[in-house]
Amino acid sequence: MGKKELRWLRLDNAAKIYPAARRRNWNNMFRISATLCDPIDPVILQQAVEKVLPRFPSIGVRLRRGLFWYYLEETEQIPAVQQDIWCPLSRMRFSDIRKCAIRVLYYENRIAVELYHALTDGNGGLIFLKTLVAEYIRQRYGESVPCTDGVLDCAQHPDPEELEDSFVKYCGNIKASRREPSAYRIRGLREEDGFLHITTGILKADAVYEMAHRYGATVTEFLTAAMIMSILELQKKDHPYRWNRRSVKVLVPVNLRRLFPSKSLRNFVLFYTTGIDPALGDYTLEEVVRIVHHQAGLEITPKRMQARITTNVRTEQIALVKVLPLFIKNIAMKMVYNLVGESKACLTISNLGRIQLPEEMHRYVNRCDFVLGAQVQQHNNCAVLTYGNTLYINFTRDIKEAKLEYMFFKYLRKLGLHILLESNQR
Amino acid sequence: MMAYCVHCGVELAPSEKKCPLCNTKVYDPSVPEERAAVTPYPPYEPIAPERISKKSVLIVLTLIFMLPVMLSCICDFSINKRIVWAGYVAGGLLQVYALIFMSILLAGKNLRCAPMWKIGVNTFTLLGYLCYIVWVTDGQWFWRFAVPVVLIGALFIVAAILLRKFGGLTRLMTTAAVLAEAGTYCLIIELTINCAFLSRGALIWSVYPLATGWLLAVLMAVIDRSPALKERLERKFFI
Repeated sequence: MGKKELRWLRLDNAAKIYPAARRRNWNNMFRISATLCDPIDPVILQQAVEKVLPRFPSIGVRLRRGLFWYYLEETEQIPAVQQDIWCPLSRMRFSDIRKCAIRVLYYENRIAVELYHALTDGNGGLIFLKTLVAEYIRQRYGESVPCTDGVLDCAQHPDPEELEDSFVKYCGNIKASRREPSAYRIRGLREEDGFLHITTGILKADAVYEMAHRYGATVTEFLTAAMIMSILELQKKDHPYRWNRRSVKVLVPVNLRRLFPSKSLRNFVLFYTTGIDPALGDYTLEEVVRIVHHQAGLEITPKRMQARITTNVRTEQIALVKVLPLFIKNIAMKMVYNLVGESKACLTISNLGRIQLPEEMHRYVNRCDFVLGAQVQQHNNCAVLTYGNTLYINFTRDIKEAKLEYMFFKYLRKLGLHILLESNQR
Repeated sequence: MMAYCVHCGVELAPSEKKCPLCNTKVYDPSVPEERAAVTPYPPYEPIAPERISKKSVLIVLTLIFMLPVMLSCICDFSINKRIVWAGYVAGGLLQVYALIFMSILLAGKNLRCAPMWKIGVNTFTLLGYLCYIVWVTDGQWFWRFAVPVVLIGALFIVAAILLRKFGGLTRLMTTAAVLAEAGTYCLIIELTINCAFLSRGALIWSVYPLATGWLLAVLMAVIDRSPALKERLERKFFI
């Protein structure tokens, strides 16, 4: 009997930087989880993973090295589900990613998936988690969960459109400049053992939505503005003289599926930076919300995004770049990433939005969470999602000082929002 | 029942023993302290950080340095049928090797005298290298020039380290001391050259670095003594 030919995929345009930018103890990972009403049965969860993973050929993969580019190759073995650890996202090494770039974890009532960012973005990861949890509920409770609201049918073959690199598909002719001034960097004492602090703020979603609408902004814009105000306060303490202060900017990912008709389950997000220049004067929250809102309006348009996609895709398509051996590309990309990759913003705020699940799943799913890993130079990151009437803000940091979280939640408290906190502090 | 942080005003989940924002201990009289709530993540288990053994790093380092030494020796010998220039290459590489070797060997040992060991070993290897050059070139300057210049240089470095570590000097004053030392060292070098090779007493070039070093040192000492001036200058010239 002949050996099965393993499916392979090129890395999409956004994913190409991640393997090159890696460090010995750091890889760009994120985590999405769902908390159910009962303790998780690992045997059933394993069966669910075995059924679901073949439906996602771009996720059940490992990273492999070609002569000119990295690529993804289907894993021969379904990964075993693992018990969650005290410090999520921090201990997936590059050698692990080359065996399997996804982890399925369980702890008490929670199912979590941790994904290497080269495979997919938050949207793709969320669809995978929804499908996995739906399958788990079917097997555990015998519930008939329909394949709607982002739950995919495991009996179907994957749609080729789900595997496409949409960046290449929606690339145009006009390029946009990447030039941007550097931003203020939040510094701190790095945790020596790589511990990743996670602080979760739990808020009433309707209160936050109402407040955001009162300021004439979306929730992401409002939270981004509040974050900018908190960073401003932080910078004021570090640099008492205004002329010495640097731009305060936040990186916000945009789900391009909302602008382009893509079904891709791979990376299809672009980031834009939004922020203010504190050297120009003092700002009120109303001003910052207005600036953030208008900057978002300027950036999040199909034409602008297409121009930025074109810039990225054209770089990858330069003949000389293509024929350079991978190890040279790695050196060059790492240098570029180190020099400019994380210097344009203080941190990232990624909002997955309101999580929709089929009605049949709502009974069993109590909570959802989205956690981003820390970057190499950006020590803080923030991920947001809303499930039901609860908004979860997950802060991650790899430094000892919780100064940004302190400022941010204190700021929201001052605005009159009620916050419940939990964390993985030791 | 949920507790609130008395400092931040945020509500805390039952799993929180202290506020994750400000580390204020949670005290809720209505909840017994021993009641264990389910934590959002598994309990912390310290993991010993992976350590690379020094021995293997030193072996790799030695092999890396041996490669160019061997290649240059083979190349030199095959061309000249004896060692002509490869000795200089090997000696130069040995200086770098000794510097890195000592740094790795003493790293993480928390020895107060670690810098002295480094300087001692490097002085010794440098003298060895100069001795080799004197021997190859049939020179007569090892005891008259090389030994005093290298030893006095090492003494100046030791003095700078001692001043920084134990002298309780500010960074500016340490820099001032180093500049004064550097100026004086230039003077000593010229005097040694004059004694060893020229048999003359006139100073030609060393007065310039000597004067510059000492003037800058005095300037820095003056600035250091006036906090207001120091702050004003820092504000004007920060990088």
